[in-house]
Amino acid sequence: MIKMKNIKVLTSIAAKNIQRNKSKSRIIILSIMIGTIAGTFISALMTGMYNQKVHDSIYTECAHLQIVSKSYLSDEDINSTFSAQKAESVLKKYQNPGKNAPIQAFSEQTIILSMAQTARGNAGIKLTGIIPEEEKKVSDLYTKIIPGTGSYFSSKTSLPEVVIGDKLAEILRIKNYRITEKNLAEMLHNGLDKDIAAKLNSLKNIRYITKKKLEKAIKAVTGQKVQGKAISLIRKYSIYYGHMAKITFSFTNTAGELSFLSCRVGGIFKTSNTFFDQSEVFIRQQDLLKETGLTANKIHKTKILLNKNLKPDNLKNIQPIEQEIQSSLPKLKVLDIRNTSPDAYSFQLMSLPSTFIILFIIYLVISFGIANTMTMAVMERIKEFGMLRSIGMSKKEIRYMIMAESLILIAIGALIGIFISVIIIIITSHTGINIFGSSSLESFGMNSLIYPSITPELFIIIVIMTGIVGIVTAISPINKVLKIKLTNATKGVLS
Amino acid sequence: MKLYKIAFRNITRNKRRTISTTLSIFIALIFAIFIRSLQEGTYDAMIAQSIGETFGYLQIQGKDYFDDHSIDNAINFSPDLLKKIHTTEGVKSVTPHIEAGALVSSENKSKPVMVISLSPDSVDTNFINHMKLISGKMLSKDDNGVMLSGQLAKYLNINYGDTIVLTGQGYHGYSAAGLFPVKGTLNSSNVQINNKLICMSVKGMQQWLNLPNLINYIAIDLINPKNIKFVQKNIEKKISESPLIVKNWKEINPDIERGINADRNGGKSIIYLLYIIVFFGIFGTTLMTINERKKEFCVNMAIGMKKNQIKKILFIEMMATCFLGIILALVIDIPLILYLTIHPIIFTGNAAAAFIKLGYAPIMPCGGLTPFIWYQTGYVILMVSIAVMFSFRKINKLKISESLHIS
Amino acid sequence: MNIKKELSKSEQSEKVIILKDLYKTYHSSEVEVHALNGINLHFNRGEFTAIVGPSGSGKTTLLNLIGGLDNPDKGDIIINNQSIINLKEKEITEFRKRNIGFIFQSYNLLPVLTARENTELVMMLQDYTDSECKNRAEELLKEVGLENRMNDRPSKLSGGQQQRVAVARALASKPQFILADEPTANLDSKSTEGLLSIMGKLNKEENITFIFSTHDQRVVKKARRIIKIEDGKVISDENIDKL
Repeated sequence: MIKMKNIKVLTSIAAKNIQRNKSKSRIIILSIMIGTIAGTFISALMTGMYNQKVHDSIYTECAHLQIVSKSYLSDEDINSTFSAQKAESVLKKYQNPGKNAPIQAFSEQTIILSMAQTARGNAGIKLTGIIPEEEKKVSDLYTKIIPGTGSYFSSKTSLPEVVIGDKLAEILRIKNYRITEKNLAEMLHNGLDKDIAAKLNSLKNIRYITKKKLEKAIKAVTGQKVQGKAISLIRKYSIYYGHMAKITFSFTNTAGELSFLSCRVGGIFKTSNTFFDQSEVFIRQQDLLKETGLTANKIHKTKILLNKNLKPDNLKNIQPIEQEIQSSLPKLKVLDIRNTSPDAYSFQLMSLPSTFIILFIIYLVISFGIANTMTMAVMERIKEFGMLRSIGMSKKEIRYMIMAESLILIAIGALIGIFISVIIIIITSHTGINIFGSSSLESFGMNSLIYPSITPELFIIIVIMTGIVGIVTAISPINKVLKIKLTNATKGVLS
Repeated sequence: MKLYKIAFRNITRNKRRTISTTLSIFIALIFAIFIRSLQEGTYDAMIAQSIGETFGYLQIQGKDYFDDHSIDNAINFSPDLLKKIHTTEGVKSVTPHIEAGALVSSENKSKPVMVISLSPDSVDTNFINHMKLISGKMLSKDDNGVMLSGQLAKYLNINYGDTIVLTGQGYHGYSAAGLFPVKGTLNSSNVQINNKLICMSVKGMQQWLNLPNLINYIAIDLINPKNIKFVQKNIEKKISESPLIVKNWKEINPDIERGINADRNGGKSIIYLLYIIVFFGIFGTTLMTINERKKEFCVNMAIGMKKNQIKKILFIEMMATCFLGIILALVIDIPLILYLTIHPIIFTGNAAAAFIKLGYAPIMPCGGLTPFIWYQTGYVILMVSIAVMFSFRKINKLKISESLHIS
Repeated sequence: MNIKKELSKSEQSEKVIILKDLYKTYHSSEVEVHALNGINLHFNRGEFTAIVGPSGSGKTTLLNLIGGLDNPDKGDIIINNQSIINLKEKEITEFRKRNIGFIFQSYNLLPVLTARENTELVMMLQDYTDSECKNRAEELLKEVGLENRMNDRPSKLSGGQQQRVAVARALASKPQFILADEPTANLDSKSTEGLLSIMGKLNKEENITFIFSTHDQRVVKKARRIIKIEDGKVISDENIDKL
């Protein structure tokens, strides 16, 4: 083994050698810096994307756990209900406000598959009866009501109130488009071309039922197809929703008879998941009871939100409580995101492996360049190494010296790279970043605005891979140096 | 001619450098081509299943239907028109299409469903049926019965011979309601509608919805989906005098295209980043090569070689190395892509569920040998050339006297 | 002027290095070079020997073999009554560390270390303590006349000064003999003078054996034994001491 004090000397020689060939050292540092920044940032981006999908699925849509009857799992039948009181009595045991109890909140749902119909459109949807105050505790949907479209169950209407998604509003033709004095001013304020704005004046106060009708009219007035920023602005600001639109729902009740329920839209929400927005409608549970034939105690589903202390977004951490609840309710089925949101779950699973693959490829490509550079830098000094061997430096010591050079350079580059990328990540994790240009991921059910994040595991992977690059890129130069015969290395010019 | 000889011999001189440069290009390109091919192949498959085979790559609609998918904007059902469209170059099949949302009820269950018209094989339309029969028999031309998708039949507990009730919104506000015998079960290639699909004959739907010889639109399937714009133009010519219009799926469903573009851009960004890394690698390597061979170049200049010739030699060397990497990448990628085009990657378990929830079958095929292979190759060549030429500035700075000083 | 040290009889006749029947051939891809074709020589303690001969005659090869940097195809090399041809890599490295000092034509020093650090380096690789290294390095550099340049890097020293540091470094491990391959080839006459006088001083005062391979007439003039080699064979061996 190399002696300790020798290590000090060898390391200091390595450090001095690095300063010698500034350009090569700079290239290596730059390469690893770029690689680390790229790798770290992309990983954080991907992690943020996946995390968001999981987060939205849980905190807006499905919650951590759900309880359904065994028959409901297979047939979603209106009569596959269970006793709300029974579930409540079990769940309350795990709930202790103020303390670290596993269950933070739970809510009950009555679910009917039904057709929603308006004068101009229809769609198959899931009508879910809730108790709004309870539901607010397990889902943040109430925060996603589009301003100006109403509220989350605080409107006053004679008919039962429902809350629907933006996409459903579009399908049912409740979402319309109209250019007004007010929103035209807003568009101009946000950069709309003055010429176009002037031409739009003639379209003021005309209601367009669909986006396409609006765009057709715009084309007719401006004489061209308006694109890019202008059309996005127009699309965004000319939206308005029919106030308190009426929807009629049709479904079969518990007795198998076709029933109807007319409601008014009290509020319209928009999540990052278009599929959710187009198929979920919420109504007060009590408003459903008469038409469906259900009683207040018979529910289809209980949603459970777990305490953040458990770190419940990670499936592993919630297995114990899941099993406890399941064993206390043997006749019912307790589900987690594997069933309730398999796509979010698969994202969670894919997250680490896919970022690893990207990192691997990036680092692989960098390694070639760095190994090349290191080897050249070392070969330049081949005679020195020959001299060192002749004065008695062992192979181990020479190996160490070269490895130390490589690792020092890479450590410097990596540290700078990580520092820069952490700053970028911190900034973008607050502002969000959209790398998809003007396109959007919403039709895939995801938000295009991504908030990058780094997990400790990711960080460790990056550090380890950087270290491996350092070691691997030193191998080639070391082999070259040690293979050379001593006599070749020390030969003078004349001999 | 001589320059090439010198250049090629120089490549074998420093094998290690040549190999590592080749490898870095090889890896970047192989990854880039593979990912792009996988992306495009998957998109094509997604579109084919969810749209092409069920709703048509192109649709001939009434003018107003495009803006408002109301059943009131239906068009005339004309077998002559169908024949005329079918003879257009590139058209694989032409199908009259009626669709409506409805509530289906069996004994004690109900569910919102989508009802789609199903035309049997017919000489007139040469309709190719993308539906897969599971049990029972396919509907006949003017059949009065319905077919259910497998999952739906299971949910409603319905079998061959049972009856179902369908209620929906018909033509001009007509309350559509009817009893229908179940003739069998089938599945479509659009996974998302397979849990709520009901098929009826064209006549059956017209009766149920009170449509007097009308249909929603004509769905057109293509022989080669890549020719969509071309076929669309041809059809436009043929129907220019009628009140009908033809639209492609992107115009009908822009959201999906946006989603695909987003995903595509994401993949491209990562690839461009990789290219930037390779660029730096090549740039650095070339600079160092020049440094290392400073003396050699200066000796050459001293005996009369011009700087341009030295640059040419170096350029040929680097480009040859680059091409080696490119060829290696193509040699491996092309068979891989061809194989995966025919035998796509199939997902199971949770990943599969994610696909299905979005409405797509859980497979990822490659996109065959499409142009982007050459685009990527082109980018790489361009990038290497630029990297090498940047480093030529150093050759310009070489001074003979400096390097020949014996140190 | 011959100033002979008073050596004991045993010391005088002590053959430090014995070369028996050495053959060495280099095989490159196309040619075979017969560098040494049967060398028989012995060296005594305290000699100041120059090995001369035309380019390609085998001088450097001979020095490399004596120093254990390479192995002969045939024959034996015995140093201090020990054959070194069958020693393992580690053993020969150790042996070289403790017994032999090398001075090359160039690249003797690490450019990133100062004169003092270069000299200390050898001792660091052995078991000297930090203070021992420091003191001895200073001492040696004084001896070669560079006490004012101890903290300069080689880039700040002239060719002659660099070679003197090389001597100091070669001496650091108290070797029995020093092998020098064309040490003066890159020096002007003044530096050569200086270098040779130091080497001569060390040879007389410390009784260190010096073996040079050289073209340089100035070195040959100063040598007390001259071995002429041509085509890998010894053609003449004149020893002034013995005269």
